[in-house]
Amino acid sequence: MGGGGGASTGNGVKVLADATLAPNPSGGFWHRLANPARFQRLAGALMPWFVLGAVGLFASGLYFGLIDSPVDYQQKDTVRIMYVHVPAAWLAMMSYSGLAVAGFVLLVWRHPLADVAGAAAAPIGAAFTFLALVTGAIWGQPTWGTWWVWDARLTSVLILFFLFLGYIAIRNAFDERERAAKAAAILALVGAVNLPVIKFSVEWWNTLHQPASITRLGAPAIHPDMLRPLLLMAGAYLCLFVVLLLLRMRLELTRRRIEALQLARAGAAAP
Amino acid sequence: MTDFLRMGGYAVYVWSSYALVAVVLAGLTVWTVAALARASRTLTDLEALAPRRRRRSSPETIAPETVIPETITKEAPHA
Amino acid sequence: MGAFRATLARDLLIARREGGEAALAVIFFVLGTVLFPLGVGPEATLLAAVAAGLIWVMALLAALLALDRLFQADWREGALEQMALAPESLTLVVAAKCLAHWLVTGLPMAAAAPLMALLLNLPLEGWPTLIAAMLLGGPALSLIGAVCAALIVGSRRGGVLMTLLVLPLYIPTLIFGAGAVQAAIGGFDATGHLALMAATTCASAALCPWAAAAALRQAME
Repeated sequence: MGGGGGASTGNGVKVLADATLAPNPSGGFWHRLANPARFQRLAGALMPWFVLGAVGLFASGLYFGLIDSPVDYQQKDTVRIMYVHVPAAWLAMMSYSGLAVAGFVLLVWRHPLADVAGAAAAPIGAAFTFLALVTGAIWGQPTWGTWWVWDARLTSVLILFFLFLGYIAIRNAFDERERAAKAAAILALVGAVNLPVIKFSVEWWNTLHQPASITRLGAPAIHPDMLRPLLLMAGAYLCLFVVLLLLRMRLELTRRRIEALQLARAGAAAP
Repeated sequence: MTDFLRMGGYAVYVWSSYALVAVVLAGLTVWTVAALARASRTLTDLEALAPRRRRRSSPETIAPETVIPETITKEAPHA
Repeated sequence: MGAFRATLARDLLIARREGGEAALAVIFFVLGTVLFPLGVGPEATLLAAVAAGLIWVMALLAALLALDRLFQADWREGALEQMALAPESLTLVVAAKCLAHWLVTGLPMAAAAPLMALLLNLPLEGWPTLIAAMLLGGPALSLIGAVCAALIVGSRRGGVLMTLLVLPLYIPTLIFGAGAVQAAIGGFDATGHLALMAATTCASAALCPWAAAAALRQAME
């Protein structure tokens, strides 16, 4: 029932032959991008720029973050942890939004690269979430006197981490690729819809139980000298994310191609 | 220099955070690149073993299981 | 509407014949709650302080346990495929199954809640709110759980995966429910919390059957 098997393989290859023999100039950008060869070429062209961007932004971000920026009045030098912690949290959120968008694109437009993008982005997002959590905890110890504190933001990031794990787990729970892809896509969308609700409820919960000694970390106005390394590091993280995403998408496409070839060989070998 | 390293007494916190970030991000990059290199090698090996290829399809085709969007087939002009 | 009623009747009948589902959820609920005083000591004030949250956590876990039966049995017997192929809306069928599920698991748990409150020394002011919150929030647990159950129906490693998927999504219900009871105990007005709880349930009732039906359909492709 459905995908796989000889008949659809035949159809798939035939269709592709038509598409590649007669490139469609009127097809949209995203449609043309659905061809992995074209995607790889575009990715290959973009990659050096993002690598350069990452290197440059990391260098300047680290310089400004560690050397050329003021210390905080209360937190002294520990505020420098903010420069690696906050961008990680931003990227964690952004990655999850990416998963949701990829899921939406897969379900609505069935773009073949949507699933590849989702599979590629998930571990990167999980890594950033993990970094946000641990650097947050390390930051918490000198600031709040405890390694973990149930403030709204850290708690939300913790839950986000579990959402990532769930996404990766459901991907691996099915052998049929299409089922795994669609299940993960639905999960990402369900999670995305729930994320604001969860965040709201956690923030509410935090205000209900706010211990008096913990001060809110988000200062309303941030000093421009602190904003600069923050944004530089955020840009660096973003460039690195794109580089890793493109690499992992290429990895995923290569793995699928390998599977297809092995399947074809097995099929040819069998009588 | 020592002031820089001491980070106002918070050296262990600041440096462990930055070190962790460096390790995780570098590790992720290395892991990805290594996996990609390995997979590319496997792919070239496999493609070398399958020289009999239908002339109609291009060198890098989408895996047969991949769903092609309906609109591509509709738009592509049939000979 | 006929499909809704038919599915509801069918599921309730099956549950009555098998009997295990409701009993499982309530027994886990009660027994798990009983373990806590045994673990942390019988000191009344300590138990009273954690009672609200504890009861809610146990309710979540019990609901989680019972979710397994929502679609798995029908899937195995092929009944799910028939429901999907039938002309009636799968969304309606799923909604009926969720209602049946809540009637069989959530409602008995809400009925058992006063007993839990007694065992954990929950102050009397919290009891009405506890029951109200569990009645309002129970359906949300069945509905949200249904989406996750539908996502992994037929997969081999379903059970543990379900935990990972469902528990984060249960968090708002937990917070609103426990918060309501704690507000009532503290002498504050709990209607805000209960209203949020009701909103969660209504939103779930509107969205979850549709999402679960979509998940079921792609599971059967």
